[in-house]
Amino acid sequence: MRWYGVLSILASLLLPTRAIFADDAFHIDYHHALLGSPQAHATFFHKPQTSTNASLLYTISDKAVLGAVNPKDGSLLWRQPLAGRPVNNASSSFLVAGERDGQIISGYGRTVACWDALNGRLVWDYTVPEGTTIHGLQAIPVGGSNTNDLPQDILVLATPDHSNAHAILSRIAGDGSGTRWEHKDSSLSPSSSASIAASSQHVYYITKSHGLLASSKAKVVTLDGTTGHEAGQTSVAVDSDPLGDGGEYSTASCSGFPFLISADKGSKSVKFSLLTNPNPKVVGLTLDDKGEDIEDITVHHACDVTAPTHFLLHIRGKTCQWAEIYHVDVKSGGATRAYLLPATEEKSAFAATGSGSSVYFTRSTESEVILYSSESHGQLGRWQKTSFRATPGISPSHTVAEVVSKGKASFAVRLAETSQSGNWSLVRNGELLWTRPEMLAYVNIAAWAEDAGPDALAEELDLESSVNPLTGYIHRVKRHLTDLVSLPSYLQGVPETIVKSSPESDAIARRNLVGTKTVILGSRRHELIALDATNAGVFQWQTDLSSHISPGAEMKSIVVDEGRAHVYLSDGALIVINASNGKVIEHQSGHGPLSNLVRIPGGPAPAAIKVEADGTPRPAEDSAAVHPLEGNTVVTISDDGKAFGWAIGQSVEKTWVLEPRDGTKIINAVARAEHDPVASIGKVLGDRSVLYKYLSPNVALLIAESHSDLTIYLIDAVTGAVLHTSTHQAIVPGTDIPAVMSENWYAYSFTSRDPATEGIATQLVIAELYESSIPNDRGPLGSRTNFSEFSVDAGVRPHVISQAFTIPEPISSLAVSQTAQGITTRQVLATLPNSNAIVGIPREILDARRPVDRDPTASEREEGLMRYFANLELDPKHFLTHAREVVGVRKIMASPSLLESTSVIFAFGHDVFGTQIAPSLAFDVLGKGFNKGQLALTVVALFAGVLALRPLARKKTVEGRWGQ
Amino acid sequence: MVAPQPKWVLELNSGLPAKSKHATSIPDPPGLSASKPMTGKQAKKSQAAGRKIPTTEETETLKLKKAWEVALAPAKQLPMQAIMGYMSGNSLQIFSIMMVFMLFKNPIQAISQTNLAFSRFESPGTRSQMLGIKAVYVLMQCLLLGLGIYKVNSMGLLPTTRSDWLAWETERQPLERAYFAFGQ
Repeated sequence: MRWYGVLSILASLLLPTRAIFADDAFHIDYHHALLGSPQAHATFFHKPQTSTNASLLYTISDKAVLGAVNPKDGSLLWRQPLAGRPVNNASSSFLVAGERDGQIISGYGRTVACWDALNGRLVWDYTVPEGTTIHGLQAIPVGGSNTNDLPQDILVLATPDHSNAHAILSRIAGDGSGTRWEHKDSSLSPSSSASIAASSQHVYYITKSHGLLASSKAKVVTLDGTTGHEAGQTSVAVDSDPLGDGGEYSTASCSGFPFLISADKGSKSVKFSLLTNPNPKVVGLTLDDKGEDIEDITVHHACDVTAPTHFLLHIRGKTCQWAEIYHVDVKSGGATRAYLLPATEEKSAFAATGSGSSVYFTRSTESEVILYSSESHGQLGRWQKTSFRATPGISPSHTVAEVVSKGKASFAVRLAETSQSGNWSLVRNGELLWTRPEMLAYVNIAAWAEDAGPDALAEELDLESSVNPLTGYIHRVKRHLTDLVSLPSYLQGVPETIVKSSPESDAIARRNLVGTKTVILGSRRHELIALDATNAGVFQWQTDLSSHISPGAEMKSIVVDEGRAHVYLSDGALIVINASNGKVIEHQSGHGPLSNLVRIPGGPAPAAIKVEADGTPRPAEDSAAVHPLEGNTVVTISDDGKAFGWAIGQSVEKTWVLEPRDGTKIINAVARAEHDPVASIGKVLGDRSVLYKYLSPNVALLIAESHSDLTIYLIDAVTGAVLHTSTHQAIVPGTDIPAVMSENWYAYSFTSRDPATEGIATQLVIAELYESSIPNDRGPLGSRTNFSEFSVDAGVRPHVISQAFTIPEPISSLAVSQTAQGITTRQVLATLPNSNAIVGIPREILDARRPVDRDPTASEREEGLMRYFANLELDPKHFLTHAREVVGVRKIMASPSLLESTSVIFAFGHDVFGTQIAPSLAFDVLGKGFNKGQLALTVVALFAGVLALRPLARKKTVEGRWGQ
Repeated sequence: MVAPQPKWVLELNSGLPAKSKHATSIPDPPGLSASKPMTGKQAKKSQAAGRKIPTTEETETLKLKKAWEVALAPAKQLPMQAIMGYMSGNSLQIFSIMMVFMLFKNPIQAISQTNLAFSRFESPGTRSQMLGIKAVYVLMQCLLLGLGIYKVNSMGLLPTTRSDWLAWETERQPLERAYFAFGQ
């Protein structure tokens, strides 16, 4: 049996298919390796090695992805999705950096993990008991002398998810050897809040109950840092609104002077109490009265034990923002205001940086960066922001800073800013170094925009073919004569293009051949983004629609038509946008929710049909003047998993219902793409007879799942007839069941558990549909050019041939490559979430007619059929992503390019990846191996050779004649 | 008046001269049929038999025979061509393509030059039978042509199968269309 596997690999090696050429990798593809929007409390500069001075930028995004970014160029050094894969609405996550030990400790869900700061490898991890979630993570400040060479210990607070669990505060050894001590608190209810803080000697455990019995006091339990024994307990008066990091009462824990800080909504004073005092007293800090309603207050402090005990309050008013700097008196436990930073109308972001014995505060606004010392209000440095894109309203939402003092009065500031628009950028002394488009990680819907406007040459050609031949010919001659005007400049450019074949010019030449494809993306953050899908994913425009989208609504469908993008929202509203620049043209409010949208032909324009959650379609209000054509059927899937067919004309009528068995629900449905051209309607067999393909645009594949059973229905959508069914048992619940349909075949994948061996295997099933099992037979309809689905002889079921292959890892989504005329063979594109890759499986391998248990006959071999092997190895050569790690891809889109051989691929979900593939090799374009210079040189050399040999040849002829 | 015949004519007509006495012991060179000097009546008689001028009928029979040989010559080529065809294989290579080209070129050329090939044997007496012979000749060339066609067919160059006409068959269009609201 082993030989078969080897043979199958050898056979696949012989196939002339490659996903990509080695010299095309990194040239025709692009990849935005994203983290998601960085969280303010889990983002910092940190030196991964004590020996070097270079620091890296670490963050945990709100999609729970931990990553390290090189601050020099913004490239991603490593990343680790803490939840296994990027998640939306991730629960709170924590990140602390070990001091001097090159480690980064993250806390998310139930896992505390320690990562090597330099390469992102997991050093150790620790799981908190079941039923609890990590709700606080703190590095214990290094105290004493003997701890210098040991990794810092970590303090973890796990709060209960339900009433049976306890809150546990534990100190974990920094070398991963487990807990040093634990403090259990069974009194904490899941609804109360708890937080921790640590000073060099003590650990403070702060709880406050919420709800009806809420008191205005927080309970502070002081524990001994080394033993975990309770050293004291007190209660401190706090206000309702905690102001600390991540909405906690306590803050500044990493600085050695942890304090509680809170305020009442809208009040102009802040309650402050220093925890290191044995009896914390509450100090009220009165904020400067600017005659302003205060909307929000945030605290900024330096995270350094040796740094002075200063902190900054950033106050956001209705119209202006300012900051107040306070100095803490550690002895008395009080805090006094040192100075005020002026209020500006521009939105600001503040960052506090501790550097040795001083603390710097950086204020970043839309237009400038100002550096202050915590001691006094004098500006240490001020830089205008330059080279920013001139887009108004892009103000930084939060920022972290790194301040380097160069001599006495000279400073350098690096700011990592997260802007409102989702960009994460680094500003060095006011100058923009790089920008990472982190908002692309939130894209959940996409549509291809139309190609750029009609080509002038194509228009001329159309004109010539429409008039009579003579006029057309005259027009053509005239056109060529006018073209001659540009001949001199063209001739001048020829040597240059031959000599200079820079990669840049190659890329431009390729772009001209492939054409331009723009993709319009809609994100969960209510933004529309347009990317150039053929040109390295370059940004075209970005529009924030959040002012047009009511809260709770989301984008459901984007339809691009005549240069306009129609965005349909889940509340039924419609936003029309200029597809070339992203300007909002029109906004129509909604008339009832919609779960889906379909467009059917109508007069004079296509009619949009909205589908409600129960599967009922109704014509959209914006196309009230449009009458859908009669005789069309719309297929909808309701939320409870039934399929409906509706005849849509003047009225809407239900024609059929497909209700799966009890407990079974249709979870997914696929049909052929709108643009799915078929070059040949039959498959030529080895003996040159034809197996006719069953080609119908009206077939759909419905995937129904019960608890562990999977049923696939192939239906004729007009009549509702079930053409083919297949059932699979023992499906692993919760796994993806992607499917794709094209031409006369469909493929789907599922993960099942073998009942005998308990082994889990992922299978990829391919099924091909033919008119008849007999070659040269077109079925009862024969060679008729059209047919009605309701005619007597139209109801013949297709002949289905299917084969299943076991693949080494699960597939989360499937797609198929598309070309303009369908001549090129297709590739099945599959997302592999386990290896973070996209693989293009050639249809030659994934063929349902491969002979089983025997070698192919001569005629089958002529067809290119190989012997069937149950194992389908995913050849690394077929990985479209080659060396790139593409994380969290949810959908792959394919679109034809101007070249028949090439299909444009775009994938999104978390990372954004795009490439161009040629499944039948690039048969219509010269490869990179073609050397223009060599060709020109050869021609020149031949010409020179002929010239040189001419006198010789003439002499020989003459002499030969004389010799006769 | 008849001019006196030259000497060499007389010598030729009188046959070999009588051998001298002492020359009789020398054997004749091998292959010399007239080992003995022919003399008198016997010599005269045998000379008359060897030089007899064939009659027109005889020449015509001979011509017909020759014509038949020419007409049937292509048939003799047939087995050789078949073997060559078999040996060259059915793949499209320069050798097999050239061979097929010759298989077509030669018979067609020969058929177009039928009259030329038989002009040597043309005479008023044979004309009636010649037509049949020419017909056989053309038939034989057609056999060769048939071999060529068979060869082309076995090379797969003749549009004889369904797949050769597949490009002219079109997809059936359904009168009703379904549209799917399966989401993006």
